[in-house]
Amino acid sequence: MDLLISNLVLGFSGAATLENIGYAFVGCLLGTLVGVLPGIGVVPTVAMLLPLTFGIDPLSGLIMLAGIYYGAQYGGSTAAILVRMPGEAGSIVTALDGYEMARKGRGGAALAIAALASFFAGTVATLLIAAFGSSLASVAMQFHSADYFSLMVLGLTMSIVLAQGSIFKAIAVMLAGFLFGLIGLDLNSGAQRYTFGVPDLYEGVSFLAISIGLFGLVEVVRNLEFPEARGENPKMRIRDLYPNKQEFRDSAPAAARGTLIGSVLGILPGGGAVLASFASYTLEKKLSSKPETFGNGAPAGVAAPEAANNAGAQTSFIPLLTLGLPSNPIMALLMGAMMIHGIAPGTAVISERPDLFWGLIASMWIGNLLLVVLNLPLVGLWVRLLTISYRMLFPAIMMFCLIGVYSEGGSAFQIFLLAGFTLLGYLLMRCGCEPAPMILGFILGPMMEENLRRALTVSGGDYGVFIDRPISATLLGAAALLLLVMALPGLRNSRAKAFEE
Amino acid sequence: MVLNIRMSQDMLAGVIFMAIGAAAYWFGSDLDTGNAADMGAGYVPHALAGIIFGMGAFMSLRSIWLSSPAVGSVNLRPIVFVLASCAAFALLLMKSDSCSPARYRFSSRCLECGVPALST
Repeated sequence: MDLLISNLVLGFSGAATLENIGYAFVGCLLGTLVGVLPGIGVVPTVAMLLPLTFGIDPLSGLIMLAGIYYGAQYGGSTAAILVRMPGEAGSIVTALDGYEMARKGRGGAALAIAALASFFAGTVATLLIAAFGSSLASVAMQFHSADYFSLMVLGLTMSIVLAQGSIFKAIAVMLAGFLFGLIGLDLNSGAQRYTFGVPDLYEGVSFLAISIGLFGLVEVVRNLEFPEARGENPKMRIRDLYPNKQEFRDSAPAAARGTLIGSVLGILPGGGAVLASFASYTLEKKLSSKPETFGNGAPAGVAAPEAANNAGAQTSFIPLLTLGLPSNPIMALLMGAMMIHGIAPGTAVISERPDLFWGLIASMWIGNLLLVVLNLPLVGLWVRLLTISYRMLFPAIMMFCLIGVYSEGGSAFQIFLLAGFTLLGYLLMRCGCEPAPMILGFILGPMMEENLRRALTVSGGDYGVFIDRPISATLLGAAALLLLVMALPGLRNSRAKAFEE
Repeated sequence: MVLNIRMSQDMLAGVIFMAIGAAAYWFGSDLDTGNAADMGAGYVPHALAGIIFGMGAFMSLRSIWLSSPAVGSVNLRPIVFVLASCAAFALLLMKSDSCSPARYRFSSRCLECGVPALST
């Protein structure tokens, strides 16, 4: 306990400087600004804003990044509540009751409930990360390369199972991402792989080009091509910002239960935030004395999924920070950004750069706090943004993406790469493939190759090593079981149904 | 600029993955495979190329037996214009890259071709 407090003090002393709070503030503001735009979810927002955090020192960069992430999430909830345009799967459930509340003129209250529930969940989950993070890291110390490989296989499997659409396609997309991750200099043999003599490829495909292409620009194209996907403009007034007593009484216990569910499911590799918001909504509906109010503007139906979503999003940092395992596309983006900052997430961060690790944790809480402080008074502004015309918006987004990609490498080649990935992402979208697994494969691929290589060198080329080691065998078994279960028709149907709802 | 594609989604996906797999194998054929105990640079790429090609082939073969939704009408304007604006941005940059820093010495624009300086 003492250790925990001293660690948190270390973290806050790094994160709570005026400068860093400023970065967190800017991050939250920009994240909300882009996240609130209808049709643009958390992943594209984070991908677009990533380049802004480069060029400042690592801790400030990470803090700003965390601010962008929370801001984007909160912006997404705002769009979900006011115009029923959930930018991502996690806020679909929020849209059900939040939008109904908004239609009844309680939109302001719904936004306040969402913000407060998220803040509460964020606080609890941040404490959880602080408490468990370091102990989980010491477990990870016992991992050998074979175990790491199996862990990554499990992580990828879980993220595929939770992805939308066909699992078979998701696997193929992930493997293609793996392949793109291998482009560049092979560190073991010094050979050039797929570089075609282009110096810009020697260090690998630019992470920004692939992520902004697949998520940012494809999103622009998608919105232009399917304009009907835009929600109607909010016509309701947002005046009464504060929830009344009854609403508060309904939502407080729901937020607490949502936090619990979200924290537990979020730790699982594979990103449980989406699952958590669905599960907590269902639970609240079952527990409620008036289940018929759900779907008609029940405050608990906003508080529970928002709390669960946020807690899950927060605790999904645990596998990233302790094991170096990104559990969903957003974590993969954050991990890529950390690597550009020269930090390789994993066990080493806690022991070698405790100031960074604890500073990041402290900044999560600061980010959550700033969101409440920032967003409630600014709700009017965000509503105004929802009505912005696309013909103004898209050129601005394009410009922003292009400059972002160019600023990293400073070469025109990156832009052509960006265009290439945009085209690929568009084609994949048109044939029913989600692009998200590609970024996971891209980030994890090179690490998997490295661990596979090391494990097999030690075992003398014997693939049995993955089954002989108990940790590795358990992880692989879990992954196989998961795929098997998903292949069963009964479950596949219920999964499809869950996504439809 | 609307294109109606009657090909099924699975067929198109299969063709894309087969192309990725084949390209990865073709352009990586000079990489040394090695063996499991002593992997060369090509070991994992070759394995991936094979698996991706196989999955693509399976996808397109399956789409012949099992019907899946067609790709449908594709509005070319958004994608073409987005890609074209990327290309325009890149080409304009390349033009400005050819201006040597010396030409920017007294001006924020290149003295010969008028392209603004990107960084000073």
